[in-house]
Amino acid sequence: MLFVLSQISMVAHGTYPNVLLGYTGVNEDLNGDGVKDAVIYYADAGRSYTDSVVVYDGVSNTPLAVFDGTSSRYPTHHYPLSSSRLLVIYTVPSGYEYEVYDNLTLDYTGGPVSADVYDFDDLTGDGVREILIYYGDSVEIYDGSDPTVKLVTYYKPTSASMWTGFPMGDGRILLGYLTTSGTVYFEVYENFTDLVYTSPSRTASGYFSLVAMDYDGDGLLEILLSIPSPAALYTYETSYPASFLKEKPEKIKGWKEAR
Amino acid sequence: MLWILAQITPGDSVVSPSGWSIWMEWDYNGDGVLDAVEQSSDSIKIHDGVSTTLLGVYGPDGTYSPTNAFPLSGGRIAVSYSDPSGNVLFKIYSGFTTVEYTSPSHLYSMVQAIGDADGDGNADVTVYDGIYDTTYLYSGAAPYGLIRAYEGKMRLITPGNVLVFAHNSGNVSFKVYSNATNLVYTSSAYPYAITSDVMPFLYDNDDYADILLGTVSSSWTADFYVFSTNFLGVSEREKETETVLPGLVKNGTLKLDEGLVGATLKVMDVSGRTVATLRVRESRVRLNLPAGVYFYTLHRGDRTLSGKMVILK
Repeated sequence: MLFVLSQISMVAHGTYPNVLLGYTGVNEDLNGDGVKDAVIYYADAGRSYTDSVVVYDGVSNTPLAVFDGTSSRYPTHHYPLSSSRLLVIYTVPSGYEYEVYDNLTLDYTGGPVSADVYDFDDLTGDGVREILIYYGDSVEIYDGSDPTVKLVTYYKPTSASMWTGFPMGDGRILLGYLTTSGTVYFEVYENFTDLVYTSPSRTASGYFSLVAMDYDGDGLLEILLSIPSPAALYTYETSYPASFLKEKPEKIKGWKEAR
Repeated sequence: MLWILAQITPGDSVVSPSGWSIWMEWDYNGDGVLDAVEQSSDSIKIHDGVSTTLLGVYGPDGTYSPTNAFPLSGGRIAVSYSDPSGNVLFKIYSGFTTVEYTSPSHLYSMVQAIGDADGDGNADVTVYDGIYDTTYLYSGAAPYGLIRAYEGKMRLITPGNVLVFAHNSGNVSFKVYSNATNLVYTSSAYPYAITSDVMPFLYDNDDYADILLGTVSSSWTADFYVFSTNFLGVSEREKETETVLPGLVKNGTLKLDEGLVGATLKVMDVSGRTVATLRVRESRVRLNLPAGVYFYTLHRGDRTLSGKMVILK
């Protein structure tokens, strides 16, 4: 048997003071050099908000970018939109403000909005994730490459107590609703706005989940509707090619390339 | 742009009796399709993901009831059982019906499938005893049985290579084993006070797996140490469980620091309504909630951690 000498050695070490537990880690390559960088949320111990967010280069451990906060405006989340674009969310008294950085240089400032802001899957297929603003009864999605462009607005039907939605790829979007009368149904849109399918209603209470995936390996997407109570799982066949679905691209990219 | 006429038609379905839950996470029969698991307080049923045919039914065995089912390799699965006194064991089935092996019982322990830890090409099973911080590694293929016990918690780096990290006197350290028994690396001890963790991950996107060790001191200073290895690739299991920071829930699973096991998790929607309250029993928490923005609090002892999280579907 051939034994290969194991080579394990420490290659990097960083020390970061006053971190806010739970929002700290070596987790993304934000400057595109192929090495994950450290994103550190700073706060005094025990405090529930952040003073600032600092991105440290994974190779040199020197600060690449600093997103400063004050007691009335502080960074609370960051979301990479692509390998070069970064969305940073700030909490302000009236809601949230957000900034988009291109190669860690400020490119766009949005808000304040009295709604939640977070990232969303790439609807336009340009490799940049989009920006989603969640108002509770409606959702606005903006182009992550050009945040001045609003791609679409979706409204929650008045009969719905809850909704969920996500892209199936290339402009196709799946929206699910739990109605006040205790049923669940979903809709499929093409070109962001064209309603092409409304499912039958299913009895449900509580919550539900929707997933689009190539479930049976036939090259076409299936839609899975899961209802916890009464427990049920429904599948729907579609004619959409599964190749449109960009499932977890950021998680498998490095591993696939390594093979 | 050419659009294909949308054709969407209802397909198969599984509907459970009242009191059961249903979920999909793994492919048990190795056909490349996720299968459905129905679970009640004392039984588990596994349905084929294509035909919805019932593949296996696992009911109570004396005072033991099934708690989870894990796919192994070679058509085998492991089903964990527990009794009201906190004793835990697992059985390995082949063909979903034939019991190939029944493990000894372990008190207050957690059973998990770990992938190929011993390098024989077959997935194995770990039993982690959190009280004594000990991992018992069992072979998932014949000859079955205990391979050995390790001080600490085990994680798969790549097939045939595992790390085991342990906490002693305020320090965390880890050892790397090849083929389960060959100790190939022993790290230094790194001090921590609030929490620490050691996990495989991809740091530099080369062909080799890396290891991340993180610590947080009593003054809330964090240290991260990155170790490179010459082990090719990263395991499928570690890809699935790649660190997800609290605050972002993907595929319905919230990944928490293991120091939060035992805490109570309360989830509120944007209107402040409590939509879930549960005890954190392992570091991966399944949240069956619609996509959206939620607030959460984690209580353990006299500590409270609160924040906002986003559930992505």
